[in-house]
Amino acid sequence: MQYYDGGSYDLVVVGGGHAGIEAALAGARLGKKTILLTLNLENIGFMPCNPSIGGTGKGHLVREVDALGGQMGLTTDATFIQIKMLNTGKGPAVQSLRAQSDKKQYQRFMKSVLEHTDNLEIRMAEATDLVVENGRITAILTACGARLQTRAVVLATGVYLKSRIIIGEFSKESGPAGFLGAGSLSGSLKDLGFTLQRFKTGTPARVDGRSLDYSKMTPQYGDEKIIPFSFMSRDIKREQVPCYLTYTNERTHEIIRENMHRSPLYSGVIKGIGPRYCPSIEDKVAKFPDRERHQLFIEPEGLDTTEMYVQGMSSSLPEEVQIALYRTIPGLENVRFTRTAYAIEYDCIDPLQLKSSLETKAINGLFMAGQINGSSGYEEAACQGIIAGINAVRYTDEKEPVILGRDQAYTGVLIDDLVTKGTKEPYRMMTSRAEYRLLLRQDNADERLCQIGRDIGLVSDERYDRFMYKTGRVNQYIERLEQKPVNNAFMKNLGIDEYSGSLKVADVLKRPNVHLTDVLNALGEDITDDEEILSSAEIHVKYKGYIEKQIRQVRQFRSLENRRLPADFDYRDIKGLRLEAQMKLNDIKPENIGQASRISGVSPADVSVLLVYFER
Amino acid sequence: MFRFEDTICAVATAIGNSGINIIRISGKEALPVALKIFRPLKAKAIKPRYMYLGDVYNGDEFIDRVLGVFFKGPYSYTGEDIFEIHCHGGIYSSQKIVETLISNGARPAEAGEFSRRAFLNGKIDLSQAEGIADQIGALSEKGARNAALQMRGSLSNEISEEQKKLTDVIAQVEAIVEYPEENLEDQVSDDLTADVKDIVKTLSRLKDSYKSGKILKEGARIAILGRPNVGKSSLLNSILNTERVIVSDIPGTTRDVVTEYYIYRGIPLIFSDTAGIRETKDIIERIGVDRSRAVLKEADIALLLLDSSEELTREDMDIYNDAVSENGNVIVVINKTDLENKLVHAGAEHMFSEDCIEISAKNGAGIDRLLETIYNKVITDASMEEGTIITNSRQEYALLTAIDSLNEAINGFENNIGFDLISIDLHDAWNSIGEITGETLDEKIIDRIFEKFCLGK
Repeated sequence: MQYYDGGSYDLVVVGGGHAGIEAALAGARLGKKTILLTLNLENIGFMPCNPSIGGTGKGHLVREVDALGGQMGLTTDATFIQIKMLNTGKGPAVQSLRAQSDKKQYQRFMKSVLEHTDNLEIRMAEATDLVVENGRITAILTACGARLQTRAVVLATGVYLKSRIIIGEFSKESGPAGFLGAGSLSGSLKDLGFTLQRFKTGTPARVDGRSLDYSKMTPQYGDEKIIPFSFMSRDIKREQVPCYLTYTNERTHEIIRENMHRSPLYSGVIKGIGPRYCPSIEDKVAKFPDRERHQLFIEPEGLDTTEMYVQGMSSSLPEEVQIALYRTIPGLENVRFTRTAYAIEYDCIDPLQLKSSLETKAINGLFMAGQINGSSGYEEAACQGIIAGINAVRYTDEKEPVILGRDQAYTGVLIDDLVTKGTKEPYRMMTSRAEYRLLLRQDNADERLCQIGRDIGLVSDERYDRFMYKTGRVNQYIERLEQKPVNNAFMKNLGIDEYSGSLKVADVLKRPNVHLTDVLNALGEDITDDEEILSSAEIHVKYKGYIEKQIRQVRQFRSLENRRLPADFDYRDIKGLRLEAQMKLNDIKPENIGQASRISGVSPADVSVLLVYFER
Repeated sequence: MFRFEDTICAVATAIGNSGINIIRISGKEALPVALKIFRPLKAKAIKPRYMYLGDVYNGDEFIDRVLGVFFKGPYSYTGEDIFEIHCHGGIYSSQKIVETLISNGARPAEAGEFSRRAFLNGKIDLSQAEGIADQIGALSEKGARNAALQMRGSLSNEISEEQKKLTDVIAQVEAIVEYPEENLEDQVSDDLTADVKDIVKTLSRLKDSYKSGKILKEGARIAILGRPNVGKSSLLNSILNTERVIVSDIPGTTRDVVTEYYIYRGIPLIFSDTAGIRETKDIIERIGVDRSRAVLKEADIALLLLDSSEELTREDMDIYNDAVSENGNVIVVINKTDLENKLVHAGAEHMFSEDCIEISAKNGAGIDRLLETIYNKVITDASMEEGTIITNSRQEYALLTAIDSLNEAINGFENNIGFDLISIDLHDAWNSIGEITGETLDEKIIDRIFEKFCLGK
């Protein structure tokens, strides 16, 4: 093939999904000449599965992307049609935002943002080959014969590598929702020595909302008081639309059991490994035979469409079976499908081949982000995208990469998990994966990351000023509440008759069911600050004891994390290590002893050996 | 700093009157170093795991006729090359051999270093390593048996069981917060608090066994008190003579506190004859008194000795009061019942809240009963007779912190504080337990969540 000169760039981003967008924006906003290649320009910011952003753990990721100066939160705020704070009754650490998105609006908004960003070009093209010289990436080739000279590449190919969709006995080489897949790039990766894995995921059917009987379902509304994703968004007022709750029943399960032999998952047609986090309905029925019903949510795909998404009913059974089983569900008796549920298989890499910066260990300047790294989810993709974009820029500037610790961000937890432990199924963020959950709250993502984003250069003056103002106000509250002693009048206002000793106002705020607004009212003060500042100050005071407990744990964690390990060390030289540990350590080449301790197959005894060995 | 490239050596058997001692050499140079001093009688080459008869020489000086055996790493206790020399008993031969080895390139092993190497080489796990360390230090049969049990992993088993239960609780808490829309509250165990309380109960039992474990390992310390001439020394002699037992002076004792050591029904009893505790202005005497007071304080039991042939004196009562306030665990012993019994006739024994045991150190009457009383007092905990016992302070500390964290979690459940906060304490507890079993939490919780609940879209 003859290649023509397609131009010269600082950064080429392959893929226009949630990872690619953040990577390209980070590159361009940091002043690098950036181009985003996508298989289909109609695909920018596409959500091939559920029409929602956020959820437990994932909501935290969106906030973190936002605090670093990313785009996902802003676009979600601009286009959501319902929003809700989850887990409000369960403590500050696990509260998470979740929004229903208008898919088309979201995409249009994202495309427009990209189009109006300086230094950024977007181009419809299929990347087919990576050009590597002396261990560095130097160019990328496209199917139509362009050779793009570049200093760094971020691959964010999503589920498009050699993708194949499966519906019962039917299967076809295709990307999601009928979009084209990418056939060649996998081969190029393999030629460059990367180990690929084959993963599987799936999506439920979309149905015509006009064929549903909502009177048989329970409507689920958004929050009346809207809390937005982005720290930049203020006072959003918007009409919201409901989702609907309904359930499967014994009849549904019977049909599934009768047709299980026709499921490609069980007949062995699908070889890819699916996530436990999004099991298909046939998986649920097979694994939990005692459950009498499973819950389903009917979610709108957008405001100007009648298409509805049936959350909980992902399936790869034949179309005919799907229709029959959907029709057993209350409210769906006369359902008309618009799109059939399908399973999709795709290539991704084994993420153990990555450094914590998301650069590949093998090829300098080649970064990867999103589902190609074995993760699943829009939010998981976005947070990797922004980090890969930032570090690709820092690579071209010859600066140290930005690596967020497990004690700093869910993003840090996610990347560390992937590059240290690898993953054998599509990886989903969960709050339980974070050891220091109380420090990594969604409300304090700005406290954790805004300064880092500022130092990187992605946080605008406006965002930074807001952040500084908020922190200042919060600290004033904390200091004042901790110093101010209580008096009888104050306690009486709060309805507390008995107390002893010299209490401070902060001590009273620590009691269950006492809130900062109550305290301020009891002090007779006007409340001028907004909710965000008040709740942040309240959490700091109320949970001080637990927060300090976690800070102590972090100190311990850091002590191992700060012990660097050499990059080019042969662990076979340490005889005290067990064979398995030697092999794993040689494979992964951890960056510090803390990371080594998290590798599966490295036992606490091996860690002692490392400590002893490298201490000498 | 611990160096594991050196070749180390030590006498592996307990110092005492045994017929045979074993000297162990471990490390890369184990065989060459051993062959510098060991001359096999017939063999030309040493094959692993064969016993060779030979002589040990220091240069030209003959030391002992011995058996030598070589274990090639990793098929050895430490995982390294090991050479063992089985020499004749007694201190002379073994000490001489060790000295000779050291002058030929081996280094004396630090306490527990063989086990440490075994641990670092993945031959044994942490709790096994500790069990072995305790076995080395165990003074008694029972202590040794317990150490053996721990070596086989009975402690690991019991604690792993509790760890598993805790994993279950955590998985339930996590699933609830992770999947708010699934309404899991009605699927989880009715009473997580009760589950946690159960775990606390078992861990507390294990933790409390530490005291018994320590006594098994180190022996029970018994202070003998009484004014001069009530028969303290004769009591000791009487105990030591009733059965023909090994008596030894434990080194390091002072002139003021005589210490004797005696095993009764498998429990080591360490008797300290104190100089007597009373106010004095004499400086030399003062030092003796202070020392005695320290012994009394640390003792597990204080024996107050009274003279049955004399009436109760003020000094007796002073000593008794001291014993009660400094120690609290007092047995009153009335000696010299072979003589005229003035004390009991005067009803003096009613001055004490403890039962009085009458003995005659001279003719041995009542000594058995006294020993039985001491034994029963020492074994206050049933776990001493059977079951797993914690014997080292690191394990006790880990259990203590786990229990503290679990109690905070219970408190959290009862006060309805957020699950995210409760989970911090639950995770803390898990990790404390993990310090004993050497395990980490990792993916276990997440695996358990998905085993237990049907989740996801």
